[in-house]
Amino acid sequence: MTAATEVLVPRRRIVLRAPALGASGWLALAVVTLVVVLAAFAPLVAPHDPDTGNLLTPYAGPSGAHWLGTDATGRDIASRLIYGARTSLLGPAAIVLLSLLIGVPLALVSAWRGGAVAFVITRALDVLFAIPGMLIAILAAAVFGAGLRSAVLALAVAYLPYTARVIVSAAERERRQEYVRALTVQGASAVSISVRHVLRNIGPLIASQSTVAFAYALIDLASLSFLGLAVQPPQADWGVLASDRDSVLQGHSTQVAAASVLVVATVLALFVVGARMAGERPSVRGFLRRGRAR
Amino acid sequence: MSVLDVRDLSLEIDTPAGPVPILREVGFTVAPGEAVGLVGESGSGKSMTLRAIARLLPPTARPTGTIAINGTPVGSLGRSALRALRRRELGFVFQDPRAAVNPMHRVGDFLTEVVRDRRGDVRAATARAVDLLARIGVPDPERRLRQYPVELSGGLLQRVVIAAALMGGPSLLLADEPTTALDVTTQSDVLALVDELRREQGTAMVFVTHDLDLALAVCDRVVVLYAGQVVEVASAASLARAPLHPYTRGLFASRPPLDRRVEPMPAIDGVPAALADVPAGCPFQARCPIVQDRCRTSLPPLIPVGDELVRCHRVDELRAGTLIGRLPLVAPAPTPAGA
Amino acid sequence: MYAFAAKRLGGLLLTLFVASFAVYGAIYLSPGSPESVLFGSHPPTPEVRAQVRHFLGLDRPFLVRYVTWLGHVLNGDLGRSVISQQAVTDRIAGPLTVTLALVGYAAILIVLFGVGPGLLSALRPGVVDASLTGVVSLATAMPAFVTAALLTSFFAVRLGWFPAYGLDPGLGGWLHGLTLPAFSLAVISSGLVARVTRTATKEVLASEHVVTAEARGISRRRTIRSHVLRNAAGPVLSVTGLQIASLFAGAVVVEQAFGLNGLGGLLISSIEQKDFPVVQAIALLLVTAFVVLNAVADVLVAALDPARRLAVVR
Repeated sequence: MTAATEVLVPRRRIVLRAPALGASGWLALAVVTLVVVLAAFAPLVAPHDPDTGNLLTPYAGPSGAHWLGTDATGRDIASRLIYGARTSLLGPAAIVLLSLLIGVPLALVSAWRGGAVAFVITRALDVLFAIPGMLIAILAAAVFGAGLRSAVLALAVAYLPYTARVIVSAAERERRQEYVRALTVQGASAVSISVRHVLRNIGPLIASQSTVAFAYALIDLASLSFLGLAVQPPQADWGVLASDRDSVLQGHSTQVAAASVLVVATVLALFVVGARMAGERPSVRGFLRRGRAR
Repeated sequence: MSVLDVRDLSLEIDTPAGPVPILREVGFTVAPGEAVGLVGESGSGKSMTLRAIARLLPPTARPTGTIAINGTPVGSLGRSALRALRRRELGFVFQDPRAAVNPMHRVGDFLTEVVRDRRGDVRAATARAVDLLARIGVPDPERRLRQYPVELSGGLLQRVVIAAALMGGPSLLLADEPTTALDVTTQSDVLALVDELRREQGTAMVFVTHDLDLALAVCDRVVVLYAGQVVEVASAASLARAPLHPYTRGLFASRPPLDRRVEPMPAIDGVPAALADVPAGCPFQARCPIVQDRCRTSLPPLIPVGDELVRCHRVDELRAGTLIGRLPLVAPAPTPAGA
Repeated sequence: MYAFAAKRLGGLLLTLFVASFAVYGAIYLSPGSPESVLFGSHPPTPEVRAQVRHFLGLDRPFLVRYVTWLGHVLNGDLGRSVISQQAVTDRIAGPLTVTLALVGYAAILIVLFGVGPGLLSALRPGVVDASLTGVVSLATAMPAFVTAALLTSFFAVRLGWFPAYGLDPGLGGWLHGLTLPAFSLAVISSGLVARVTRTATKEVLASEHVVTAEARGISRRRTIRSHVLRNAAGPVLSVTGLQIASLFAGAVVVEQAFGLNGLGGLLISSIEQKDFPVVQAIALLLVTAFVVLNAVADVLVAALDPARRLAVVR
């Protein structure tokens, strides 16, 4: 790259400066970090083995030994929730990563080639867009049998249009910029331009969008586990733990409540972090200030 | 009694970074039927002044001072009284007609909206709208009334906006760069028609623009704004003949003459400042060719010179013409309307 | 405008066509042949298997089967359940009404609790806006199964106001039994609709033509009705349509959670039983509902906007 092009290429990397997150942003990030830590260090943090139960002490209330009590077969609820964080987080992570791995190249090809290639890709994505993700996952369960693997694959495919669409429009916008033309004239290949420049400039956008996608994947996967189509009981997973209606109907709602709270808190935190990364920062003071009449 | 009396208008806007000053003690009057130009570059605060007059400032704005329309102070009016004032006395012409007119409403509905809101005589209003449109140069007005804004060109739509402003027979027209979006021929066409209509109804006008020549051609008096402050007020005639303030002279001089080349292109050194960027003292100090030490420490007051007002410490020397050599040469101005 | 609607209709049909192909074809990707279900654990002799396959039409080439199936579907014949030999149309009739009732109920709730708060939030900035936005943010993070658990535990188990399971017959019974499920479905969608409504309304409020209306002294009521609502209607309609369409997919979770005999529940059980004709029919129905609702919303939004309705001649 010559000195001239060095000057032209815009370095629009948005660095996450601390002030940009705001108070709620930091809180949200803390929540996400906490959950990730719980999942990563589950064996160290969980007080009991999640799968061993004591049939003599079913539905025990919260106590020193069992912080949240026990479930129908005497298993420690808290430990199950902590271990449950693993599948509840790994699943969505896999979905988002897969979706990006396929979606980003697809989007770049579409934006770069244009013409017939772009047309076909866009139409295919439109059809995918037209079928609700949950339905694709349910059908995949029908076809390949219920299980985490088919659910993750199905949702990754279902999320393709969302990732791809955003990237295609951003990439097309970038492609029209001066610096791309300059680099092309110099003989840089499409791949190298894409990877080194375009991707770097839309990186923050992808990051923010992926965070939000992660949250939705969490919801969808947990819902599928709730239906018994993804993670299968007796494996601990927030979706599975939240689907125990029997315990609720018998008046023991601790497990379901705790699992639900964890899901909602994590999802909300992810939404907030994703929004902050995209540069939106509503603040309470902002709300109040706008309220005063002129 | 003046139609408009602005006194000591200062304006601050609250931002997350703190209050930002926009205007400082701006004051001028408009007599009935008079056209006053408000001239300045970007950052001068001219659009804000206009909005302040109609009390259309954002909620984060903190204005001080008094604004009186036909003797009524605007700042103390309650909401419905303010609306009544806007309906009866004011007409506002915005810069971008496409943004000002709701794209989902028909042109006719837009023009008669105020009357319909008051449950007035819609038929009479429609007739008046047709008449105004015809007078302002919109062909086939009845058909246009039924159309949507998207079906009209920018120039046509701006005429509609002007007609709408005149519908209520206001005593004061507030125009914010009303012809900037139009091409030059349409511009002079429209302005001539506006002038005619104004004279008929006795409507006064505040005409905001960055184009000094345009202001001189259209207005009776001109107020020059720089960095949120008034620096010169004069009749168009005297301003065209002999501008006094170094900024005004700079504006004049930076118009390249049509009949010869001038190298380098004349321009005022530096960039237009906003009030927030200006330190103590005269706002023009950074760019003034005759700046002195006292300009940096004390703000010159508006000094009357004949029937003009000039904000400069060295106004006597300016009037005497002793500084001609240091000030930019002023190319002859086009003959203004009232000369 | 008509050109737009026609184009949208064409896109819709194409999408449905491709989707139906995918739905039909996906089933046959499944390991194991469809007819094996009937034999259970008794492997049949090859002759019997061949007879059964012939009876079920499984010995014809895939494309022929697809086209035949599509032809039947368009004529209203959705095939026969492999398990019960009952016509699929009969099998899904009852569940279809349940799901439609549930989705309809939830749709009304979404309009009430989505658009309403969104508008209120935008028109009353300050404390009202801040608190509503907090609630709305929370709502957007509450998946249906969480809300279902919450509502059941509180209103059904603790207070006993609503049933936790099933539907009593009759209109009253249905309204009663569908309330908790409908709310469970509606919460997350209402949150999203409220958020978009707020954003769209705030945008319009800040637009020049609202300022113009104020500058002309037009009353606040008229400004809001004629300018703000009218102009914000487009995006609001769009997102509401999208959310209502997605209710058909979300209903699966809620029906399971409340033991409702709707299409979702039937879908899950048919999957477990490998009753493919039923699975295909329900999948096709759900996809069609989703696609059609979206298309209707799109066309309505376009109809509202004069810029798209008229051929622009300058």
